[in-house]
Amino acid sequence: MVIIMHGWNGKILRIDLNKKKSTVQSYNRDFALQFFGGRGFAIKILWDELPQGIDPLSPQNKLIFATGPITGFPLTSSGKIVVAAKSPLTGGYGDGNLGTRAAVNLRKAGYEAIIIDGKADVPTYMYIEDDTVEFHDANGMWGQGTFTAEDELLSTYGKSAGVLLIGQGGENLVKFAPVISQKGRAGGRPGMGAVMGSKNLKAVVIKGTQDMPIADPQGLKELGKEGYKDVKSKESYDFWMRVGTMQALEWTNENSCLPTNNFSEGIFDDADNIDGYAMEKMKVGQKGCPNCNMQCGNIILDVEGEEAELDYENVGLLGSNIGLGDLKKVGLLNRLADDWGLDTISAGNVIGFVMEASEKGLIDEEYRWGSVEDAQQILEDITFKKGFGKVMAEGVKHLAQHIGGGSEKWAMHVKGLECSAYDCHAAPGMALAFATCSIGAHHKDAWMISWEIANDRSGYTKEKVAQLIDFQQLRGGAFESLVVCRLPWIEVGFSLDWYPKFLKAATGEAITWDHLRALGDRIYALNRAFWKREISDFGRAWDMPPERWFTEPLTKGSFKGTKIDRKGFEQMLDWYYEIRGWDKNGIPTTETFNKLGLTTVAQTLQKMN
Amino acid sequence: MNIKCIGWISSLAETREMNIPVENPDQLKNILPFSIEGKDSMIIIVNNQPGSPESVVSNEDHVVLLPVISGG
Repeated sequence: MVIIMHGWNGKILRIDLNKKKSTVQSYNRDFALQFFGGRGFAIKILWDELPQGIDPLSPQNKLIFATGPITGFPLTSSGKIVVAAKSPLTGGYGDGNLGTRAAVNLRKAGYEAIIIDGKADVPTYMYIEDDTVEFHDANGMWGQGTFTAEDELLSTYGKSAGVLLIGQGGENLVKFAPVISQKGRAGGRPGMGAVMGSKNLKAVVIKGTQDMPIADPQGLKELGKEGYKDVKSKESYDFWMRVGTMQALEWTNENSCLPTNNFSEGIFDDADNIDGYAMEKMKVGQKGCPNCNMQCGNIILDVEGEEAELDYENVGLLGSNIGLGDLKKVGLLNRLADDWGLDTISAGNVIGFVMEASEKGLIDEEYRWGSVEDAQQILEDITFKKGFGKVMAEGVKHLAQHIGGGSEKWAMHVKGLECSAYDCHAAPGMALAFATCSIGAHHKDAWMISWEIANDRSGYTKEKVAQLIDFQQLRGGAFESLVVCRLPWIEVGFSLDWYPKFLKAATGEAITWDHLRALGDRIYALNRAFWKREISDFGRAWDMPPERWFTEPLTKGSFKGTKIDRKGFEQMLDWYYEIRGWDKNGIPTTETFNKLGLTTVAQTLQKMN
Repeated sequence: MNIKCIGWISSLAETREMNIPVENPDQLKNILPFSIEGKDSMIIIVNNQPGSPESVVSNEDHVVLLPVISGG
């Protein structure tokens, strides 16, 4: 029985790939208000349903796709979906979001989420249209890149269908394979594509034809129009539409935090060749997510004349971080990663790591800084697990354990997830953001670095820590559960005041930011419990940024000589735990769990102890 | 005084970089040829330190005007 009447459809689609059966589960208003959608739903479901200690690549893992209560409505940047599972890369909680027609179609099909359990006996793809769920043989598609496979599926099901799929990287269980959609939209950095591959699931195609329940249809329509208009009216909008996230490259280089040569420096000598202005001269197109009027995907023709969609993270990691200062060549690597289904951030980290290892003589393979040929070969070896590619496909943490020689110090990851494109030698608050992010070293939960540069670059203060938690509540908690994009808010100044209005019109509920902040805290606490349950020695030591930032200072630019002060960082981590109500080992206290409505979670952890 | 304008601020300034002679130290807002007051999404850096429209600057100073951004 569907209890929720507005905003949420109140239904989750469950898939059992072992039996190729589907069922529909209803959920109630209390569940919706407590966990909201997206990341909130995902962490709650994984906590409740996943047997402790399972192999993430076993059929027992559950792959979850989850939207939120305003997904799919004509509201700015509301066309996203979260993909989550226990991560094969980190062993803990893993997720990511991507903008895709699949998000809108899932909601129009009548569901907020899909939970995929088991493993198909042969390569399979699913087609979902409202109440109909079909399982199709994907043998002919297995081994195809995401571009070709998606084209084939859209030719069968029509261009309005949404497709979530994996490339050869996911099929071959590369630990940092994400889920891909629309030729370049990627989500689920910590190996969600590998989980999908482990289930023999090539693609999920979704078409929805139903109306979604809206509390105030006319009000929502008007708000949507006003919201889009407000975004377009912002002073920074026109520049954003010219270069999008690529403007960050000049920004980070100016501030000595552009990852360069495996995060050994924060300034890249050839930054001008790969920045937003360079991209603008080559730009041939632009694309974005559904329901978005500030499309962030800028398209250039790569060195082989093929279209490549660039954004800052791709270029920071596949460009400066591997010493490559030619944007068309960066475009080639980016396109291959998207087509083969590899996470560009982790891939750029792995390439940078092995180039440094090669330079230091720690591996037999010869990989040269800035060589696109070597980088392309590395990507191919990873994707198809050729030779040393089998080791590289496990990520930098495993690579460092494999080759030794002190390389753990410059394996740039937290909890096993490789760092996004921000060098933190001179940004301790951003380092803490990486250290405490709920999936590992990812930037989206809290992009602290803007605040830090604007307010206090070098300090190790309690105020900085409190600001980080505030960002995590908003971004890592609320935005990931609503599931909406942060870019309108941060990049052009779209006010947070819009979102309670959107929610009121969609759901009829008077949901405040206080409610959403509490949601963020609940998600973070449950997330910590999940990590603790799955990893017996999980604790403070897992919240440490890479050693390089503590011990090897920058050698160039205005922050030459700067590195993170260990004592200062440890103090900030103490404050972080204290403010959050977690113990000194980073585990929420019983009191904190109780306050957040997670009493049974505390009891489970106590029993484990 | 050297001023770098990053991101959309280069559109506001109509240049990515400018040099303005400053004979007597004065507040930044009085020296720039465009308005920077009331712009919440602008970061002001003076000699690598956080600044404001009221920061007093002199001819040797290096100013960077940055947007608030959040990466890719």
